[in-house]
Amino acid sequence: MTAQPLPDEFVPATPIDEVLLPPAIDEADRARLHATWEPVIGLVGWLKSVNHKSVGKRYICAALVFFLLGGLEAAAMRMQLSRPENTLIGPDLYNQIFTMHGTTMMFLFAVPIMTAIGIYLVPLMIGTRNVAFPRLNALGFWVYLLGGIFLYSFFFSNTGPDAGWFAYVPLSGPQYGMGKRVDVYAQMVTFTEIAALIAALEAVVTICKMRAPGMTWGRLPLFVWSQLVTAVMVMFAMSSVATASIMLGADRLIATQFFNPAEGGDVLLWQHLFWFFGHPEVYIIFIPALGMVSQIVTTFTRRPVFGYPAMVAALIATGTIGFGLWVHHMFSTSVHQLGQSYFTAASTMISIPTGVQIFCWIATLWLGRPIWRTPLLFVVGFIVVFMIGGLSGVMLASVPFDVQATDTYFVVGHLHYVLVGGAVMPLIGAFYYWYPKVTGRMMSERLGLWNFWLLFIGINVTFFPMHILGLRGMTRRIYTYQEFLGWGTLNLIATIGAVIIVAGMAVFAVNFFMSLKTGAIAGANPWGADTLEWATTSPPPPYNFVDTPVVTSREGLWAYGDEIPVVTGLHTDRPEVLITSTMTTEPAYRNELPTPTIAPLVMAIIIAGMLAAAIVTPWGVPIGSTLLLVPFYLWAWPDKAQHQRNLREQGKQDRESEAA
Amino acid sequence: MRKVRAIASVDRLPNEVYGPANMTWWGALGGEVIEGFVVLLAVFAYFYLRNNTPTWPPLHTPLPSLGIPTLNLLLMLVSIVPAWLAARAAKAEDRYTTLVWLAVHGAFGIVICVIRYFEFFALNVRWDANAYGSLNWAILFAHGYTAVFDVFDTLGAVVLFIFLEPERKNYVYVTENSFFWYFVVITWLPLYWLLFLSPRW
Repeated sequence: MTAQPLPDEFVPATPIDEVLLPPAIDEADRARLHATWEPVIGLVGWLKSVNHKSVGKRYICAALVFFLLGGLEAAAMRMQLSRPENTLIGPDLYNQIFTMHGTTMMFLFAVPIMTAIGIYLVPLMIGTRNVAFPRLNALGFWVYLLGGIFLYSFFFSNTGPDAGWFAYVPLSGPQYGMGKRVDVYAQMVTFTEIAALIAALEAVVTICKMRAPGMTWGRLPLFVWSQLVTAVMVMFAMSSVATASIMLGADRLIATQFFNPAEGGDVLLWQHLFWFFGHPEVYIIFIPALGMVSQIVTTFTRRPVFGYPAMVAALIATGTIGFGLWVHHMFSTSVHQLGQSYFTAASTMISIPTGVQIFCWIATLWLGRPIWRTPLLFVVGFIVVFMIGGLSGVMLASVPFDVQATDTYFVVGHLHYVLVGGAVMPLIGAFYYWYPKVTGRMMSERLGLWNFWLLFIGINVTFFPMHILGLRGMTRRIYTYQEFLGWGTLNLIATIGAVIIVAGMAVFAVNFFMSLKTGAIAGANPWGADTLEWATTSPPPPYNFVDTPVVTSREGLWAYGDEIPVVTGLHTDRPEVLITSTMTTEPAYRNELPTPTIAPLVMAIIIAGMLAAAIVTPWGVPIGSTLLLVPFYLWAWPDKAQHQRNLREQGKQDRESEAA
Repeated sequence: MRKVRAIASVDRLPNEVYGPANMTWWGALGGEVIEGFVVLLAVFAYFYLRNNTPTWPPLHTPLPSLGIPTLNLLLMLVSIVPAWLAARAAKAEDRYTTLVWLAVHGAFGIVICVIRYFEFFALNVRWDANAYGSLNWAILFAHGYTAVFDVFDTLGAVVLFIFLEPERKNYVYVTENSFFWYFVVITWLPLYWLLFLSPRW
């Protein structure tokens, strides 16, 4: 394995002015395409936009803001725990902060940002111009954003959820969960699950029906595979938490008895429904990260990923087995012994597909000529950190150990190794990798190195001591501890680690904002990568591609000779996309996508009002649902001019086909 | 510099197709999967809690009535016919026949939803009485919400077909509306058994 030194200056892999798929049309046509795909400007136009790149970018920005908020909450907790009997934060606020931290990171950052990157990249990677249902896509974003704002407005008015991010009943039930704090949690879950389900549906249909001709399942980039597997998982997992959160809200608001043992309910029903979502949730966060890693490894080793079929099989296996382990979160409840054995076996089994992927990446690195740029560093960091998290996960899969470690800092250490290592590391790597595509500029490599090492060191210094703290009996969610317990030093070390993480993320933020202005111009394909998003300009035009590229090989752009085959004939005067068949990707029909409209935003506001009202009165649901009909009908009603034109054209087309 | 070469043009392709080739069909299918899974989870919860209770329905809780629910079940089964005929007429792109069957389908939908309201009382238990009552109300409500959604969808299509000369996209919409209604009816069969018949054994 020969490693190349980092170049001092950025040298793009392909000439900056070379665009692989140059627009083969004249200026007038290009201007028309532009006007068709980005028709309205100004604030109203911004609010109406349904372009996947606009929606994707604002989704990413919003998720990053929530990441910052969740990070600040973590920092506050670390400050409080840095020494024994600290009085910085009192118990009540501490309860809210740890709940907000978990809730924000899981529901408002990790899942949405993976979704958001998919919304931005998937259409580009499969060679199409937008997602399948652009208005629905915009609706999903607005609902998510309003959900986040909703949660934080309550938190800032001292009504933040305080029963932990998994809000176990009876603590969160009507008997003990006083006030409206838990209702805020339950409704926030409903907001985010609506958004996630919309995005999932969107991803599935986009990937199944809108792939460029020739991009058969065997040629689909691994990132797109990962998005597909994740989307299917979301459809099942989010349905489960939707059921659970609505039941919880109903128990609290209208006195249903789902979780009340006195009236035939069961508190463990909540845990089953929650973890049937909660465990797959980890994979919903982690699988897109695996896809990112595969793309980065491919690009920076200059060779196709080793064992593509095994990689795809591993993604699907992870997605499937991920639904069979939820009970390992419940080992300290009364789980039958046979159940314990089964869930131990399943929990151990899931390390097999992950292992397969890690071996495939190592083989790719081994067989290729790795170029050590920042994204690849983050991949290596990911492998190291995630493997430690994976190994402590295998330890926790064993019932006798788990029963001892349940609700201790060992679990906190484990889950942060898995999630920070398995998702945040690849995510930051992905930012360095795709930033040039989105902004047209490169991020600084020098700052990238600082970013990587600070983060890598910070993560280990913060989270490793937590394992030892857990084994020494420190339980999670305590707001302070006495000095004689001897946890002070390790907690201080963890807090120092948190400071290093903050420094690392500050470097990232500086790099992110500075490079917008001062980064080197990237050109279309600065890394010399193989997937289709690199075939168009950076940033891509609103219509992505003038002509639809035809994919000839799994190696994508690397396989093209001097001539790149394309399919032409999509109209330039309307937002039209090519729909292809699911299996063979043969062109099936041309589909005109809906135009920008304010309806998704209006609908999202009504949904937000409905969910907020449902905290205090059940009538919020029927009234809100009725109000929703207005934007729904406005949304669905055809545009007059477009309708007349379609009628004319269809008549003509029918006459022609009859004559033929 | 590499060049692009057009190997095919899609300008002669149709701008709408029927059935699984159309992406909105996939959207409807996705919606059905999500809805269906929510119902499945509610059924899981039903059996989970039923297992906890020695008698089902719990002591002093009367059995649900059968008359109104059975009437609604029959109406739902019959309503498949106008839904199917509307879809068939839509595929033939026959505006007036489609409109007629859509209207019949919509009328069935309205009646079914009105009867659904009375079905809640046929349960003979309040939602807050015990977990059994909560489950029954939740399942009935979840399914009813889907049905109401589809009815409004149908009524929207009726209005559209009255006031506009439909284009192919609208005909496709009708076929998918029917497709969703079949789902609503088919999922009701096991739920009817669960809510109204299974407590009797």
